Amino acid sequence: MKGAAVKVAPFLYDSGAGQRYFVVRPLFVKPEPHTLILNEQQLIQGCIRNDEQCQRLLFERFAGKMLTVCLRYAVDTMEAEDILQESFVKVYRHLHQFKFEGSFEGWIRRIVVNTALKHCQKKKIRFDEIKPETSQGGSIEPSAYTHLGESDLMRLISQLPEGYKIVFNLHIIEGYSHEEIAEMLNIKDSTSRSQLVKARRYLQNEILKLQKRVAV
Amino acid sequence: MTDKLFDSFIKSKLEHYDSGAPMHVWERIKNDKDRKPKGFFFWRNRYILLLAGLFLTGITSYILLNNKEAVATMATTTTAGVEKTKQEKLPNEPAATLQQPISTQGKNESSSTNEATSTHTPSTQSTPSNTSVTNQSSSDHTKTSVFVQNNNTNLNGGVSSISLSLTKNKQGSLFTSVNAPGVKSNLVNSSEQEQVLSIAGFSRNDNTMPKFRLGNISMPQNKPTCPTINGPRRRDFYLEAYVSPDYNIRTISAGDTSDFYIKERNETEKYRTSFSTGVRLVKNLGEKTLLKAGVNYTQINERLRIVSENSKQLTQIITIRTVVRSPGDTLFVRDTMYYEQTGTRYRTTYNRFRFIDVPVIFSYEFGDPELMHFAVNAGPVFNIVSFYNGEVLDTSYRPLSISTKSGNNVNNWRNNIGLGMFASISIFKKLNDRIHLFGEPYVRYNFNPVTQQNNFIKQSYLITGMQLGIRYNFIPPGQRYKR
Repeated sequence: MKGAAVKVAPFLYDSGAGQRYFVVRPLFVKPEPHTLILNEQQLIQGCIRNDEQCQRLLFERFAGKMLTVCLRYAVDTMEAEDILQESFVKVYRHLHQFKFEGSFEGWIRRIVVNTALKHCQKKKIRFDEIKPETSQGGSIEPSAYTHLGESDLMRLISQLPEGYKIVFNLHIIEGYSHEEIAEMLNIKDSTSRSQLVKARRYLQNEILKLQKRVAV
Repeated sequence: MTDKLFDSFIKSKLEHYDSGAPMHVWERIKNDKDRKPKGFFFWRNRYILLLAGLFLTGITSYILLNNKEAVATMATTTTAGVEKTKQEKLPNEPAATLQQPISTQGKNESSSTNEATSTHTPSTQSTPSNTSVTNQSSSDHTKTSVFVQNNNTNLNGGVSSISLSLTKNKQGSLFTSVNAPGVKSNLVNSSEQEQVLSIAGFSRNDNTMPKFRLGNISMPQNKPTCPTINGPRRRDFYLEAYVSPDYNIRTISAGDTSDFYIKERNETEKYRTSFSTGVRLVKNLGEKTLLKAGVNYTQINERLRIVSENSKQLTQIITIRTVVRSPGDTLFVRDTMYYEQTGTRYRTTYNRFRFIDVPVIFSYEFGDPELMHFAVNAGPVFNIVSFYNGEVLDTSYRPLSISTKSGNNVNNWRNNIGLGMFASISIFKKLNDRIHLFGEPYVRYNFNPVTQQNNFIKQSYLITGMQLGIRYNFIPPGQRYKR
């Protein structure tokens, strides 16, 4: 394909972990190796300069993961996209405050989580909570999880009642302690703990149910 | 599997899970990211900011201009205080003011007097009066004459200049003479001094008495005034701040639509606590009439609750299984299933109707201001901006956003409801010379509905409430009547 009429990608993206890949996908041919290479720092600086191409690259890189975070807190995809939009606008506006200390992804994730929590707290529309069925007792075999994909887990988490869901996400996935969660949500530590236990039981029951259905 | 393993399993699965970048969101972000962040309303609207600036400048100028005399008095008093401090620091300096013992028996009196004169001469020169200081030394006594002529001030009885002489004899007695047209005497004892001072229009204990000090001559501050034909005029200027719990009466009309719609609206939307708050400036127009103007913020809160029975929710589940039959032979099995949940769905929305207005109110006061007095108030209210958020039922009984932010409904709800009328009765209770407490039951009606003209649903409010606040008088008690 070399020498064909081409549209060459202007940027080579360097993830910083030794991986380099082209961000703007070429239409016909591979891009030439002399194209500009951007590492994370250059990408951030480009965004601070309000370079739209850099901002787009940043979005492309992190939006997928951050959408997952949003989906875990939101009621539906539309709300998740709203949270994602708001979060990225905040990221672009406050990027100059990033001190290049620690993980950049972690910094963005914190913004996304805070925005999602703000959405949850602001929400005025409430649905009745579904009462979780009583625990079926006994531990679940590890084999029960083998067939579970990420999307299944996402779906199961999204079915959790709102209180369970937030605490479960914050503690299990984001890694916040119960004290931090209590402070963030203005609840007691004990409430956070009990919500987590209930969320875990609920999820395990749902997984068992799903396993039975699949087996049938 | 333990809880810990379960947790780590979930975390490992979901922590870095990528759902795929939704590129249509990028288009929204692109439009949104360069938009200026929203701040407080006033900081965004430059016209209101300009008006507020002019308003504050006007108030400041008014206060400063009205308190010019008070400021001048304060400046004189401060100067006198400084002089007194200086004098206290010089124990050998003879007491030169008339308020201190007039007779001294110190040594080297002549040099002390001269020292005092020279010390205070600069401050004398800095006064607007024409002042001359002359020292005459002789073998018998030292005479210090201070001549003061104030071109700007007319003293009682047309006295326009005072000549003050302090004379010391060998024994250390200090002679004082005040020379004014028609007043000339040499005084030794305090009773005679008082007599002279009384002729000049001052008393010994009068705070406004000029400080007759060597080199520091200040003129009396209480200017003699002539009474006007109409007598003294009231000049009060107040600031009122208040909050009010409100109750509003809502009126909805929906054209040809059946009454059932209005009934449904009234059943689903319930009134919750509302409030108003504001500040206003009050200036008296006459003895009993006042004009009030300021800024008022009103918020009406409502709750919309919709109950949908037999609500159904359909959930799709896609399960993909991977079956590895042998190395290199992997089978993907995709199962799709749906399940439906039926239940009662409650939807609650809190609606807020916010108004920022400028009331211009005429007031008539009566009663005893010292104890309790009353006022009747009325006037127009001009709406500056109105904004809403929440949901209401539309004519198909579905929730419809009323948010002024959303572009779809911006044409259905007014951003400015225009003119309204305000009427109230106030009760004032005096707390001290400057502060009054007041309670003011009021009623306010806006002529225009909150919905647009072209919207066939007309929704308007009659707001009643009880304003509770304080009134502060900027004018000090002694200056509230002007001749």
